[in-house]
Amino acid sequence: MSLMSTQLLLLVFATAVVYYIIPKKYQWILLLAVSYMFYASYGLQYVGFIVFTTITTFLGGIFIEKTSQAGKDKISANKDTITTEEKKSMKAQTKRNKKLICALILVCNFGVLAFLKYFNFAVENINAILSGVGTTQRLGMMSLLLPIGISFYTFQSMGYIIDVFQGKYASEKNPLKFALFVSFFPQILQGPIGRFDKLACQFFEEHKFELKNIQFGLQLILWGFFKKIVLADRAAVVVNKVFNDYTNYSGFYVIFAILLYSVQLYADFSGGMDVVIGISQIFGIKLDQNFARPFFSRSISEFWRRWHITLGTWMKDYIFYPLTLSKPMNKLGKFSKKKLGNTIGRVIPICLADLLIFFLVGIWHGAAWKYIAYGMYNGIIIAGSNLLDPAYKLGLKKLHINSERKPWKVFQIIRTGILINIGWYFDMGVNFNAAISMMKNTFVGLSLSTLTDNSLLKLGLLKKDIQILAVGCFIWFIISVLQERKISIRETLATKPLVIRWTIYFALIFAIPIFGYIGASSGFIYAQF
Amino acid sequence: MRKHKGILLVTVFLVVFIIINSILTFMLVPSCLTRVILHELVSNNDYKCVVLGTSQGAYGIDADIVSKETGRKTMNLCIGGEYLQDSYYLLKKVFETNHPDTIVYDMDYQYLFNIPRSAISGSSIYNLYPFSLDKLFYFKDKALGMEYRAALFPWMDYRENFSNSGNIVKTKLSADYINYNPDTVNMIDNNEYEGRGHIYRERNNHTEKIELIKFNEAGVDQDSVNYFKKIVDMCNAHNTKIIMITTPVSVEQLNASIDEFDKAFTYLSKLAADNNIPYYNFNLVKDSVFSRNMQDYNIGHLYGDAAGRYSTALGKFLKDVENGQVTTSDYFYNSIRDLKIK
Amino acid sequence: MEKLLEILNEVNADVDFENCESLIDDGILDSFDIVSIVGELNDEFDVEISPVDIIPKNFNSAKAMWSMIERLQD
Repeated sequence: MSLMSTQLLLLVFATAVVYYIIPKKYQWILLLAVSYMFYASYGLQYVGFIVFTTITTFLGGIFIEKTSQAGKDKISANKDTITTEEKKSMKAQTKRNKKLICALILVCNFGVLAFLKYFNFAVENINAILSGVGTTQRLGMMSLLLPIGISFYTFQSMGYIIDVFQGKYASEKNPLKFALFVSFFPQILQGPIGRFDKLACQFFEEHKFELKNIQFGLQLILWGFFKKIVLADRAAVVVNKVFNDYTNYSGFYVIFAILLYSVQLYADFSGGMDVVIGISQIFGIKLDQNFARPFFSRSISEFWRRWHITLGTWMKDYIFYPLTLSKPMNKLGKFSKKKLGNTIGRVIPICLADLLIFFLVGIWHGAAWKYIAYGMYNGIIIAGSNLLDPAYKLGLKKLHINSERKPWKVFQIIRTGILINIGWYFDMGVNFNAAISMMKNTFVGLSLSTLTDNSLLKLGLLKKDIQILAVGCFIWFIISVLQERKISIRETLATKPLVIRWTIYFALIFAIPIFGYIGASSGFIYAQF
Repeated sequence: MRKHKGILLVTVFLVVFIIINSILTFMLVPSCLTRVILHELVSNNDYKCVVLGTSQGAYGIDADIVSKETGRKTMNLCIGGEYLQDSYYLLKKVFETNHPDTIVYDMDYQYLFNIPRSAISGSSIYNLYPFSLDKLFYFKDKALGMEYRAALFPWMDYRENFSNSGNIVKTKLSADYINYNPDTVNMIDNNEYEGRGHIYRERNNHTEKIELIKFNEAGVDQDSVNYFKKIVDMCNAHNTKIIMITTPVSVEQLNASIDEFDKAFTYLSKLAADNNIPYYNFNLVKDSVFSRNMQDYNIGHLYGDAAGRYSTALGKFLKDVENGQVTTSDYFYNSIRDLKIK
Repeated sequence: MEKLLEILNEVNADVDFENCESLIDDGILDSFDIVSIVGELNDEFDVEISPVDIIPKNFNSAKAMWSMIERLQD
């Protein structure tokens, strides 16, 4: 069931009507039923996967708590007879047991994800090595299909089990309630990746009908459709043409395609998020933001705090902190501080953690070398900027540049934008070699005449299309600036007179079919992870 | 009170939406033939024979000639872009408004393949279908899987027509349009609408061959096959005879891809047999009954004069079928390999 | 408490640790700063700050960090 299909809209409408009619204590059950129906619509054969994750993680949480409790009980039962040493060792044993359970659940679920996603990639590379060493042995690839949303629901569930292991909150005792957390349909396709403590209370509390939720939710859905259908699908025409036929394009054609890819990816992904968050809002459930005007970032680090935010925070909470605060990393930090001095030494563990995280971010996007390159490109820039930070600050001082003044901030934003766009060569290029080849070709045939002699109109878009893109992006830019200044568009709109509000609503509703791009229809990009 | 105000606002909002949408449909969607044809169907109730099918039949079958030959009033409901789902709902309308004793299904095998779920166009059969409970089911069947803007904005296919909207509105306000005069429809090339569903294509010198979809049994859309079964069941429920035919393509076209057509026709024969109805494939029609060659066709459709000859043959054939006096070997070869190019 | 402020200022001299109460919420401290701070605090005060403790409640102000340290020392 595509997010843009008529049946989805009808489903949301019908569910919302029932949701606000039935006794409030059954609201979450309705959501669970609809979520599974939605999931099954993508293929009954995939339901087993999400059920597997649900059951293993649910049971894992219960057992971790039981182990914890058993440990505590044993200690208090024997508190008069045991020594401090024995107490310490019992605690350690409990911790080891909990760790074992947690690790088992993580391995099972990430294992399934990794297998389905990366098995063929691994085989390809092993075969390349085998052919390199001259044998005729080859491993066979398998035809593997990815259950819908597996990356997202796996990450979300594994976050839960790690939280329970760390004692952040109590495990969920109701398996059906837990099943809703794993399968909640608006977020199953492309996130945002949620946290149990923030979602559970919302799922299971009673939701009164509030017109504001419906209004704001619908407005957000409309805005998301606008971005996807008018902007993203239009930009995609040029992107696909140039990237799929990359040997025939160079110079400004490539640059144009790269810039339009920024538009396409941002509009598609954030548009999808708006639809998803808007649908949730209709049910009174607030999902986490996944985008916060990423192109206003002044550094790559900041970009990843504004782009696909929930993936970044997941990596931060479940990989970055546990890794950098772990004993081995601590030892490394002390060692490198001794060898390389305090300033640099302190940074080494963090740089290593950054590299690892961006390696993971890279392969999360797909099983291909180009994605690994994409991740490492970002990781190296971030790790590098951490290492060079003192030198950088010194340089600014010497050049008498005040880093808080506006011109410098604008420079940083443009610089970051350029760096991000360079990253897209790896993300959108057909493969690693294509990406490199396109990078080289960017500097071939760079002639300003390409921009003025209508050459860019040979890429599948008419002048009218480019005008629509320009106007649409401009409107979006204005809205972004307002949001950056913490002005809530929807709240402001709510204060305007009805005629103005309705004019804007109808303008948006009809702008989509009037200006929407009509071509080979495609779904949301991130709904294939 | 606030609750009532809320419901009132929502209702008014929806009404305004419907009004704006209707205005856009009115000013952007030009006058189309399907509207005229549907009107002809529902405003008459003495059709005894109705033909369903696609543009092959729309150009190829002159219902008035068939009526003359068979002595029974015939209506040609073959419309360009009519998929089996559309035929099914059209047939419902037929039985609602008329009492036919024969339904002729003109099967074009290409329409059994995976249907591009394109937008509900303003000129589509669905959109011009009279509003009724059936139309709600039609909507459900057609629109649910579609993108929402394809389903809810029938004027979207015609959004380039803003500059032409003055003319369109003028036409739609004219007496001719209100009276379903086909002259208000802009026909392409030198097509003329003759009434009772027949489009007469004047000869011009184009005889381009069209690209036919290669037949592949795995690609057959099961939903379409199911709709065909439902069509047959509906006829049986009304004690109405139904036969399947195929309006012929040129002999040269057949010879160019004999194996493909063989496979396709074998499949169609099986489909008819599975539904217990006879199949008369006019691609096999004998030269002496109806002779045709490449010059009789334009983009796969018969020119008007050839259509006239074909319709005469078809009419005579249908009369024999009615009287139970059909000897298929009088009319048809056994295989397309028996056909000779002149 | 003074020692804490000393450490904080060493990690990032541009921040007003004495008065600011929204170090995390306003993004004044990023994860890089946090890790540096935690490392120093673990060493200086002999505590074991774990990832679970890295929440805004504990790091939004110097005062909050001090309460956390005191809690962990028990």
